[in-house]
Amino acid sequence: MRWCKKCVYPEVAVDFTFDDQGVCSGCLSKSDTKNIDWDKEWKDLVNLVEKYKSKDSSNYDCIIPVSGGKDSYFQTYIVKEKLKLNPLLVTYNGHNYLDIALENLKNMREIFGCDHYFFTPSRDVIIKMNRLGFKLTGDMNWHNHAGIVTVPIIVAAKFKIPLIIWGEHTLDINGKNFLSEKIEFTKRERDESFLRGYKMKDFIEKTEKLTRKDLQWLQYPSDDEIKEVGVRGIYLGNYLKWDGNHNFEIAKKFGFKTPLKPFQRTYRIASNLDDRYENGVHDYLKYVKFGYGRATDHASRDIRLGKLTRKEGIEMVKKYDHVISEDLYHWLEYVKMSEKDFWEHCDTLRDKRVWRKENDVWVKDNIWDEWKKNAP
Amino acid sequence: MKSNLKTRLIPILLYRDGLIVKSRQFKLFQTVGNPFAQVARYNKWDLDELIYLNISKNKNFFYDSDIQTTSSIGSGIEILPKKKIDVYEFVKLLSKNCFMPLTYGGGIDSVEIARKILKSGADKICINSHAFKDNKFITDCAKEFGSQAVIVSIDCKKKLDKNIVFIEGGKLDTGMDILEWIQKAEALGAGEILVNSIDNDGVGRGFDENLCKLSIEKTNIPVIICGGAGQAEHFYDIYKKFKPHAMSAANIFQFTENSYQNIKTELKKNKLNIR
Repeated sequence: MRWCKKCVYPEVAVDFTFDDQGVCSGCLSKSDTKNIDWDKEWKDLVNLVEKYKSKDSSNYDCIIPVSGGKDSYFQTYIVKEKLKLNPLLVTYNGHNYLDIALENLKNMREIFGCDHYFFTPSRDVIIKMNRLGFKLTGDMNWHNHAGIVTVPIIVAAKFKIPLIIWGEHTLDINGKNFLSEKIEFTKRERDESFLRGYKMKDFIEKTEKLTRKDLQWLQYPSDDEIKEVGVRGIYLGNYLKWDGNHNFEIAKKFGFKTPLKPFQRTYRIASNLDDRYENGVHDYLKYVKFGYGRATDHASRDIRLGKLTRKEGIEMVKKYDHVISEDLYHWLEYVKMSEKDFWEHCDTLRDKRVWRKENDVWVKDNIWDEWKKNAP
Repeated sequence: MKSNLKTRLIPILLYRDGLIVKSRQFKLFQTVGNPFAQVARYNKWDLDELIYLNISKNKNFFYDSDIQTTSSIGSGIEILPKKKIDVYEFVKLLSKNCFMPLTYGGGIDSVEIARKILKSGADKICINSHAFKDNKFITDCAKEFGSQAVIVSIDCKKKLDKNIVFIEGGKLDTGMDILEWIQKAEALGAGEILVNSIDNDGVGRGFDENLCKLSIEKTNIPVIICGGAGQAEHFYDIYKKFKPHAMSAANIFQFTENSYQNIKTELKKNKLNIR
C-alpha cells in the first residue's frame, strides 16, 4: 500500500490516481488552483448569473440545494447577499437529521428570508432503502446521496428554474478534475459518482417489495425535459476560494450552531451535521471497504489548506479512522437488524487490496507504519 | 488538405487499465470512471463518430471487474462483465452499446489483431507506434480493410520549433519531423491522420495552430486535429483558419451536460459548415 507523499490518502482511495512522484491527483488538483485569478472568476460568475435573473420577477432566479450545514449557509449568503439573486432553497430530507442540524436549517431560511422546498420521502420507504442500500451497495446512505442529486433537478425541471447553484466541487478533492476545467453537474457524474452505478430498478426487488410508485423522488428528469428548461448546475467552488473552515466562520455569524458532543470518528466539529450517520456508521463502512475514513478526508483537506502538517494528519488518522461509533446501534434499531448480521455483511465488502486475515483477524497496512517499508 | 465537406466533431475516450481517464500532456491521468457510462451519454447526444483509444499501462489489454469497485458498477450498461475479458470481447461489448461509428485504437500491432478488432464490431482501426516501427503495416491494413478503415494516429511534441513525432504513448522520441511522417503515412495508404499535440493535450488552452496548419495544408487525405480544446471558441478559431475535415477532443466533452450538442449549436450559430 502507498499513501500520497503530501496528504494522507491511500492509493486505493476512490477515484484517485498518483503521479510518478507519488503525489495524489487531489493534491495536484489543489496546487493547480494557485494559478487561478479569483477576481476574474468572480466577475465571470456575476456575468453568468445575470443571464438567469428573472427579468419580470415571474420566477425564482436559481435553486440552491441545501442541507442547512455550514456550506449551505455560505452558499445562501453568497447567492442572496452578494449576487443579489432570489433563490429557491431545496432540501432532500433523508430522515437522518440531528436535531441541531434541523434547527440550523430552519434558522438559515429565516435569517436569509428564502422560500424553501423541503422534500421528505415516506419513512417506511426510507427504512427499506436503508436496509437495501446496505445490503446492495454497502452503504445505508445511498438513498441520501441519490436524493440530494435528484430532487433539486426534479424541482428545477418542474418549476422551470434553469440555474442550480451547487457548493463545493467535491470532485476536486480526489483530483478527478481541475477547478480550471469548470466542471458542471452532469447526469453521468450523478449516475457514476453519487449513485455509484446503481439505478432505481435495482431497488425494486423481492425482499423489501418497493415499487416504482414508492420511488418517484428517484426519477431523474429526461434529457428532453432538461433541455427544454435548459437546466444547468454550476459549482460555486469553481468561482471563489472554497474553505470549509472559512465557511464555518461565516455560518456562525448567521447563527449556525454545532453539537455539544464532538463526533467519534473525526476531529472536525462542524462538518456533515445534516446526517447522523455521515460521520458515523456510514463513514465506518468506507473504512470497512477501503481502509480509510473521515479523519483521512478531513486531515487531507486541512493539510492542503495548510491547517495541519502531514505528521499531525497522520495522528488524526491513527486516532479516529478505526473507531466504531455509537450511531451504529441507533441505526440497527432503526432498521431492525441484528449486530451479527451487520458484521457478517461487512466482511463481504472488504477490498482485497486493503484487507487480509491474520490469525482470523482482519488486518491492513497503516500509514503510520509507512516508514518501515522505506527503512534499510 | 482543407475540407470541402461538412467538418466532423469527434469525441475521444481514453481507456486506461479498466477505467476511462482524462489525460494531461500524456503524464497525468485523472479518473473519469466506468468504460461504458460516457458511451451511453454519447449515444443520447447523437455523435458523428467516436474514437476509443486504449492507453493502458499494461501491455496486454486489461479489463477486470474488480477495479470497478472503486468506481461505478453498472451505469450505462445492462451487463458489465463480472470477469476478466480479452480485448475482442471488450470491443464486442463496446460496439454493441455504441450507436455511432466507432474507431478503436491502442495495442494493434498485427493485421490479425486488426482484423479481429474490426470483426468484433469496430468500424475503423487507429494505429500508431507499430505503424511507425513497421511502415508496411499501414499498407497491409489498407489493402486488407480499405484505406477508409485505417486511421494513423501521430503524437508530436515541440522541440526547438520543430514538431517531432513521439511513439509508445509519448515516451519514445523518434527524432522524425511530423511532416515527413505524415506524408509517408499518406503514401503508405492511411485513410485519415489523427494529429495530437502532446504539449497541448488536456491543457485546454486551444489547439496548436502551427501544427494544424502544417498537417492540414501538406496532406491530401483528411486530418483529424486534436489536443487542447478547452472551450467552443477553440474549435471556432481553428475551423475559421484551416477548415479541417474533423476536430476532436477528449476532456472537454465530459465537463458539462449536453456539451457535444451545445458546442455544435454554438458553432452552427456562427454559420460554420459543421455536420
